[in-house]
Amino acid sequence: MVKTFEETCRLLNYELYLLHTISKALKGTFNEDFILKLTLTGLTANGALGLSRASVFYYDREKALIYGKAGIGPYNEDEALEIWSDLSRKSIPLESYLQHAVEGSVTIQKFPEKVCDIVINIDELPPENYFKRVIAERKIFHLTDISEENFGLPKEIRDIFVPSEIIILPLSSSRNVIGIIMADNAFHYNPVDESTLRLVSLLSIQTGIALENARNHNVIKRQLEELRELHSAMEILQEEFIKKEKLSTIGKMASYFVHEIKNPLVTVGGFAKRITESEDINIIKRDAGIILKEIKKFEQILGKLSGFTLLSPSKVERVSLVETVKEVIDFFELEFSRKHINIQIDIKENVYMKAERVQIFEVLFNLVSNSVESMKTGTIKITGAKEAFFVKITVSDTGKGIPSENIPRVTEPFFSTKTGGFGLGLFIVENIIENYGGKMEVSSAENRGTAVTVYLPA
Amino acid sequence: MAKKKILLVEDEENERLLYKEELEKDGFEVICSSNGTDAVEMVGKEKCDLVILDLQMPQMDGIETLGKILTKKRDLPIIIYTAYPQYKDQFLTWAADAYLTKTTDISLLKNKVKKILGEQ
Repeated sequence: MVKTFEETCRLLNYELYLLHTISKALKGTFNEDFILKLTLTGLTANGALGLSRASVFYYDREKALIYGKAGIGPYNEDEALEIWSDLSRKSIPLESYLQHAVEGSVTIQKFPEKVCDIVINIDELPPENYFKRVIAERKIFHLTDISEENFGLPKEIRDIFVPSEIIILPLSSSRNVIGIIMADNAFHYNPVDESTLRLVSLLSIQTGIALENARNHNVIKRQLEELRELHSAMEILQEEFIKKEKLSTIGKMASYFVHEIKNPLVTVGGFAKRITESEDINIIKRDAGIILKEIKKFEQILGKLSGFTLLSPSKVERVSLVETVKEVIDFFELEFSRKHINIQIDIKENVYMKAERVQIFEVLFNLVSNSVESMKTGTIKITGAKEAFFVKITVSDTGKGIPSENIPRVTEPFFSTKTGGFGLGLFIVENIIENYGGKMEVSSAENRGTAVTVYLPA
Repeated sequence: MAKKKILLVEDEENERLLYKEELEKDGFEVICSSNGTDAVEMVGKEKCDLVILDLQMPQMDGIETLGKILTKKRDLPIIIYTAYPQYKDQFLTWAADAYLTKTTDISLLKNKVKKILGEQ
């Protein structure tokens, strides 16, 4: 039959409308089951392609299996009459129909159940079997001569077969055949025309794309979830880690104090013992003098210790840079004089930071401690100034410096080149600084010295 | 018999005096150095029988000093005498003959010296 131009236009327009409506629905979901339901509804809905029954089979290439995944439509004539008489009473627009396909419950279950029971081993099929050909040749087959005697389809689908016109076509992703779509005109036997075949082909392409997108989306979603889980696990670990490092810093400081106290203690003890054993008044006087001098050292050390409480409650306050630097400098005074280290401070009196005082002390303590340890003698310079919203603090020294290959590693936890070093100093400093939204920069030249600059919120 | 000679390397003046006098009381000759650089030089010049070495000193720390002394005289007995207890394993494995943590009881140091120099 030759169509008029007007008829052709109307038909094409209708086809476009159908495809557009179904495509739009397919694009709206990444749920594989919904995509299949939408496709099957598009194939069978009265206002769409109007086929009788449609089913989707998935193809598992590795296992050489084809298995039923979803189906829609009546299992027998009685069901067909029930469905169509019900639907013909309602005039439902396709959009609502598709919406219902996703959200609504299916009352007729027998055909879908039968479809989902089907498992076909493709290796057992003869080459002329249409299920095998559709995968190998990747094209649509319109079968009009299938009968119980001349079956041509896998025996596993006999139970859902009704002699009628059958369409089978591949469901493909961009690379592979991922399944088979099968549809028929059983019970109503409306002829399947070329327009229907064309639309079925286009719809299967849309479905293939939608399925591939959904799978990719789901893979990415799963990976994202894994990453999220990993991230939260990392955060917990990091918190524990920081807690432990705080303890390590306490340990480091304790070790420093032990050393500072032990040296004069040993001297006092030794001379005191000698006094008890000596009868020479001159020796006794001299030794007692030494003891007094050593006791003065104790006083100095204890004076510093009492001015500093590491375990004070954590609270953000207005911290004076000058005062904190002074506390740190006092702490190292003995070390400075022992190594003849010259200390230069260049800080404007009115520089303040919003931070926890103890943490700022910890930052400066670590930086100065690193400088002291890196030098036999020389100069340590501490500068501080307000820059925009930040306070910029630099601790530089004329120590042995860091070999260029080690500079990127200095903030790695447990990285240390010092004997007995914990390798946590700069790691802790960086963590504290980053917690405040600040940053740290390290520059160094071997045998010339190191400068560490930190930026903290003003 | 000639007195055994001990090189005492200690930066704290009063501690140096204490150990020197105590060891001299036990019949040893004690020469002193307040830093690692001088100590290494003295090991080269003087014939010492034992070195007592503090770990933390200005200019050259104990570890570096130990390495340089051993390069000059591999068999010279060395006692590390320090306030730090935590480095014992490191030092005993690679160099020192003894690692003593400083205490107010100097007899521990004196006994160790006598033992190493075979006078006990």
